[in-house]
Amino acid sequence: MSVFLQPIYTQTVTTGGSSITFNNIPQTFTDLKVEITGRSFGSSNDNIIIRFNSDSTASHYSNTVLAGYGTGGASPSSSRGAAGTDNYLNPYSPHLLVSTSTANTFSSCELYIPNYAGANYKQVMIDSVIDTNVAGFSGSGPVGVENAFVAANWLQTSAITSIFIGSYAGLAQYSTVSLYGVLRQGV
Amino acid sequence: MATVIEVDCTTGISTEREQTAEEVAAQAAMAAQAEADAKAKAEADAAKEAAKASALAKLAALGLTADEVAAIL
Repeated sequence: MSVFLQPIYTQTVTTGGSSITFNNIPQTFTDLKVEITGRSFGSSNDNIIIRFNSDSTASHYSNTVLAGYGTGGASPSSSRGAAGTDNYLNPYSPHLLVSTSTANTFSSCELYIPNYAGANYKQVMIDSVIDTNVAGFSGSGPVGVENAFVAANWLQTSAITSIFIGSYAGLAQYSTVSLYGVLRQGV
Repeated sequence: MATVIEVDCTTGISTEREQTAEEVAAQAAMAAQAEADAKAKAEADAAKEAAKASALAKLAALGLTADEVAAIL
């Protein structure tokens, strides 16, 4: 089996407080991969927000977060956001680093969306880290180290044609989101 | 003013515009929810830590050493 990773588009934020939406996503790939290097425009607790096809129905999104933190920080934890909690895909982690976090540091986050054009519910794997070279972790004005793995679901059978990526306060300047198409051949 | 960047993946054209009033309101609502979520999680974490400290104290009162307590955690 061969696997090809095709860059679709890379967008960098030029004005703080922005969101990025990829529309008219080609339906010719097997899976999608999204790479986010992000920082919040705000100064307090913030997270990455993801929506598919402009869907803002709370019962369509659920996620389970497994998070671990730096030495001296909170204990590793797991929490489940049942469908209907938020009207967007809202992993409590990853946190986004904010304007008061260590300068020049960004959160790194990867989404993998298998079978995005299929007719089943869409499962999403999210892997994310922050590291501000500070021991421990604090989620309020995030500093420290956090690793999170999120199992998420968009409980809809429609093909994903649009992905919204933002945050509560918007993404800061130089935040970058890249969208890739994954093509498996011979399967 | 916050902006919205929209990328058309078919044409490769990226456009940037200011948020509409509706989008501003929606973002404010999400921010309020985030604050509430963070507060609830912080309270839950604090309660969990307090319960753990209480449990450790009770185990110590029963005569368990710190190593013995650590072994059963």
